[in-house]
Amino acid sequence: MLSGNCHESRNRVGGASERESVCPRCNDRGGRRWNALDPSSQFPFSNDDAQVSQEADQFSGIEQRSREVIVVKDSCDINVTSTETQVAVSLQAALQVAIALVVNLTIADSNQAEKVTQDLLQFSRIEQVNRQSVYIENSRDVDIQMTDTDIAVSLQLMLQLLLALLVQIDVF
Amino acid sequence: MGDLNNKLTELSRSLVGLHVKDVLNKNTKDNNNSKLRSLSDEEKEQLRKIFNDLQDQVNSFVKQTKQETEDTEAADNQAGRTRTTLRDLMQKKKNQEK
Repeated sequence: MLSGNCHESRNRVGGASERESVCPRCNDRGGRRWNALDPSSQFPFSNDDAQVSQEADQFSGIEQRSREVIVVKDSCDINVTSTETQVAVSLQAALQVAIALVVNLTIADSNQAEKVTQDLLQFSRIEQVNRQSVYIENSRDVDIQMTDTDIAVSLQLMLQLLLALLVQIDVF
Repeated sequence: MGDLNNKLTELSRSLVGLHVKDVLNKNTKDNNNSKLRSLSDEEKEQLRKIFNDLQDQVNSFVKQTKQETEDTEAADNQAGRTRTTLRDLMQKKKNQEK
């Protein structure tokens, strides 16, 4: 019975000797599968023939930030840099609350206030939701940079909305 | 580019202002009794303070995001790093084997 990892089952195929290196699933005759945690393992498409890492510590981590998930498995030397998504989400929430507050302060009828708030926020809502997952497995020397450019635009738009509202009610 | 950016910002501000005015008018003219409540000076001052705080935080966040993007690009250029996709590497290896 073949396991999930095709190279592990190599030795059981057709009664071949342990030195048989043909994999029945992928026909790989290379004999060695790339292993990011093995310092002597060389990436098949590497430009550097002398690639040897002396610090192949196993690292597995899961980090969840708001709507993003980063999973790092069986890898080493992974560098993840991310901007402050949590700050961006908090700012967005604060702006929405501020707009709702101003509308409720100025319109006595709560149903009408609710409708006005929804109309205003719907206009500014940017539908593109940044919901991305990054999954890194069996990798080495990977740099990941995640930025929040889209949310910056949304924040600026909501700020303009709040300012326009305040101008209408003679605060500014 | 900076001038264009300013013009676009001004345009966006005008459009947003127009939209807010329109929404408020639509929702307050149906019922004659419902009109915008006047705020006291103290309330107005508080709202001004809240807005200024939010504006500072948003500007600081946008500036930080922009700075980080620029720093990364500068670091990449300095290291002389070129983007090489897996597809490029595979093609190169195929060419070498030929």
